[in-house]
Amino acid sequence: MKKLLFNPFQRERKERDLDDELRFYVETLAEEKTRAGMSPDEALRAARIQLGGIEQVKELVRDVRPGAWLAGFLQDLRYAARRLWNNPGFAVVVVLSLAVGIGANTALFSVLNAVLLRPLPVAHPEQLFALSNPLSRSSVKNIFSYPMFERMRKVAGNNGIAAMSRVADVRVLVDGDRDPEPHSAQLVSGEFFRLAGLSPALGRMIGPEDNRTGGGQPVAVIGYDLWQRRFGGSTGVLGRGLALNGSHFTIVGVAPAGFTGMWLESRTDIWIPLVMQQAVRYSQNFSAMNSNPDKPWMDQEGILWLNLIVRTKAHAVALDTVFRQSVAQLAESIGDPEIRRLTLRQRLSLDPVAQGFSNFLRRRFTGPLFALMAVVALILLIACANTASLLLARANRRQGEIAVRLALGAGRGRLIRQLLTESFLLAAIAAAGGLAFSNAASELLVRGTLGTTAGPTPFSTSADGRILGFTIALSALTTLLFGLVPALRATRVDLESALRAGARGVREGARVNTQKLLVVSQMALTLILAVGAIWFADSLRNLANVRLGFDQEHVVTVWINPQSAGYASERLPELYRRLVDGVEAVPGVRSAAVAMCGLASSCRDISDIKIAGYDARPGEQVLVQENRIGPDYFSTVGMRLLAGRNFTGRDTKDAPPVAIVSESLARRYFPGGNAIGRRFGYTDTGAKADTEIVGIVGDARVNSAREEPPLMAYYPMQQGTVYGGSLEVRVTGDPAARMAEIRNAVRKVDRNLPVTQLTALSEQVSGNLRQDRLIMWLTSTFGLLALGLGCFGLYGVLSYAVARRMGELGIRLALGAPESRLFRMVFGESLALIAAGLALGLPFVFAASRVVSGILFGVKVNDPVLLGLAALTLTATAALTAFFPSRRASQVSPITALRYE
Amino acid sequence: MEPAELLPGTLDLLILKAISLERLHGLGISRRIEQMTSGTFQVKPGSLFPALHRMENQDWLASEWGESESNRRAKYYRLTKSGRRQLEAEKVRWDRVAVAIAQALQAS
Repeated sequence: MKKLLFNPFQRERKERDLDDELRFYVETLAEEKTRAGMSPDEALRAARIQLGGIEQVKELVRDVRPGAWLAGFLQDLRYAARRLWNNPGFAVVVVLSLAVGIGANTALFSVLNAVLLRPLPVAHPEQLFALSNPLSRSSVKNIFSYPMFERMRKVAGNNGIAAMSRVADVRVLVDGDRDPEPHSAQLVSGEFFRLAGLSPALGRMIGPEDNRTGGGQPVAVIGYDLWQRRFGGSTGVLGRGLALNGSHFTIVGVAPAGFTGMWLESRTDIWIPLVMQQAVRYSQNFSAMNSNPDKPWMDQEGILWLNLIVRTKAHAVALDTVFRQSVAQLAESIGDPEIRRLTLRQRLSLDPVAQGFSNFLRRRFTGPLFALMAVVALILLIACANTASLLLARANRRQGEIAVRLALGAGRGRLIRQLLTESFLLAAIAAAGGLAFSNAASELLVRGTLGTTAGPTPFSTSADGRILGFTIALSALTTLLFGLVPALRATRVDLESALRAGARGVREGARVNTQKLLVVSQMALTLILAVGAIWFADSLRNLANVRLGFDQEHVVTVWINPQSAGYASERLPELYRRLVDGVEAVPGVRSAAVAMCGLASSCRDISDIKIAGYDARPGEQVLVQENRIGPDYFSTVGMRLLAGRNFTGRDTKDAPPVAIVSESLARRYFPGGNAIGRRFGYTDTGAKADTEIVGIVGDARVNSAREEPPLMAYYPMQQGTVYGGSLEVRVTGDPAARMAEIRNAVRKVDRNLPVTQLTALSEQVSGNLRQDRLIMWLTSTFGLLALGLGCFGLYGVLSYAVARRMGELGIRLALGAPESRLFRMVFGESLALIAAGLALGLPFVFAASRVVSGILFGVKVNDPVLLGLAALTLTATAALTAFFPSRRASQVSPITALRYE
Repeated sequence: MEPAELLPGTLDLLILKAISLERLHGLGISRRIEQMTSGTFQVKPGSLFPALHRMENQDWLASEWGESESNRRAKYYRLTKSGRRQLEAEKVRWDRVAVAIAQALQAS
């Protein structure tokens, strides 16, 4: 180590010593030869030859010095920097195109990292597992009841298992404040923080003592960000009071910095004990069977609402036993033997949850992220190909210099290293630039996809070790990709002929082949991107033109939450009547109707029904999505009743239960077209088929424009009043113009009724497609960008190829070849390369089609017309690109051409 | 007999052996090796000097400037203690290799 450190300072002395040492060798030899009768000059020459070149030997000795690598590298770096400085145009073009490539890759990787890879900031996240019930017949497979959690806790021990609710939006009123603020809160069992290994930044965490029902005062732990932002990071925050959805809590602690919750898509601000479920009226993502969701959930076996996590799989078998015992008990009450059999098959599964939970983000974005990642990777590849061809051209101009340096004793390895250092410097500058803009780009990407306009994004994409490692590895790979082949080619020089002035010493054939290969692969890459761009553009168009089945224009949706305002269910019919009357009194409002689930929202209620007279196969489930709606709902949202009757005022609580079903449900289960008058009931509740179908309504994409219309059953609100989520209002003219008045009308009905927001239905629908549109837009835009880059590279390579052949072309001309034949020759060769590229790219296109077909919307990926169009466009563009160099080739004057030599 | 190519791994051994009795400069070492092997091995300067510098860095050799027979300033190399140990180790290794190769060639 000492030697290595001192080496640079002693370099001069070492060089002098080496000089002396070798001179002694040569001079002694020469002296002997003179003594033997040679002339002094001749003797010196002979001695030098015997040594094998002073400079060569010196170079070999330098290579074995300690730290030689570093010293050589620094020297190469200085040299490379000087060369780039002298050729700024080249440097700027290369650095910019590489920076775009590396930056885009890093930005996407940052998002990918945050969504898929980054572990939770808890102790040993890899040891955490979430419990799930993969064979559950319900649509949610990872939630459990509180009594089940208690039984499992007995087996796994107090430090082995923890329970938590989903993250809910709550209204928080800090003591002393006037207006409540929206925040997000999660209910956790007392074991949660201990299991996660999280210690408080201040105060204490929620602990096992907070599990007790009733006892003590309600406590809350707030997140670090909220503490800093809202309470200025003051220690006085402990003991402060706040009301969550009207229920009072005392702040007892602050969660550690960096921990933003267990869910990828929602940053959690506040944690409270599970026992407070009823007090804050938490009612989200649950599945209820033979139970009453209006009563406290803690002691109800039939309400599944808790995500459970365990540390280590140690108790997996014991937990499964507990779970199966409960299932067996439940199965006793099931009548249908096949369903009982399927229920008894259920088992517990432990899934890794090191990266935290995710509702939809991970599932929905993984595919699109990889598709985008592939596109930006292709962009980088094209940038590499462009750079490689530029470097090849440059190497050609440098061959004289390289030959001289080889002759002076530079080893080929050393020269390759030097050329690669130059490439590395380019890549490193580009990487630094790319890294700088990728941070902003990835945040923009997340904001764009999630529609987060203000406030922090639910998860951060900021650079961490993994991203930095990715960028460094990417730059190194990039360097090798675009630098290695030119460096190898440049240093493969036939010394003798290269040194002869003006002669071409390079192995011409090899270099031209490299270039042809570049053209072909660039064409292949460009084809993939062109087809991709067309796919995604087509997809965007289809998405915009999809038939929704309802009329999204001129409708305002008012999102209400009567539950968190504390309405008892008996008072709901009265509230709904007054709301509809109040809003319909607003000028410009044509009609209004309440619904349990708003359109194009994540609200969906799915049930397993039993249709009288329909012979279900053993174990077959008839799953329908349901909505409960007020009068005039269909006309308000513009759905068409196709047969039967609408709900009327006579469909009251005491009248026989009725339903209106969607067209596809009617067609599927009543193929004879006789749905009206038929009855169905719920499988869960004793299967008494007493609900009569009175009407058929048109299919509608109620969940999202992307999703096929679900099989729907609508029920009248009067026959089973539930907490409504939306009030749909049809207006004349621009919905935005009516919003303020509608909001006022709602407020007049009840000042305390929280109105989450007002949206135009058309915006709600398109907001839902924001992710899809953004990803499709990005992919097609990136595709076009890459197409441009590809053509640019093609042009460069072709012009260069023509320039290299000037001599040959000149001779052909001089020998009497007509211009047209020269043109045909050069152009024909280019066309052949283009065709080869297309042929090479096609299999990749088919492979890509299989990967992205899930992301696309209504696109026939292997449509020959579409593929033909892409190939034709590309051929035309490339042919145009090749046209100019070819014409230049045919118009060359023999004299200029021969002077080229 | 024509000078032969050095076998891989033997250069270090030959250099160590060459200066095991007295200090020598570069030219002297290559002459000594030639003489020790009756002209079978000729070490080219392109291999000799890098090897000398490498072995000096490994502390097997030490160098000093001295006066040559022709009254010129020359760089002399001599064995260090660890160089002597290395020579012994290389000798043992070489003996084993030589015996093994000889056995292999005699095997029928």
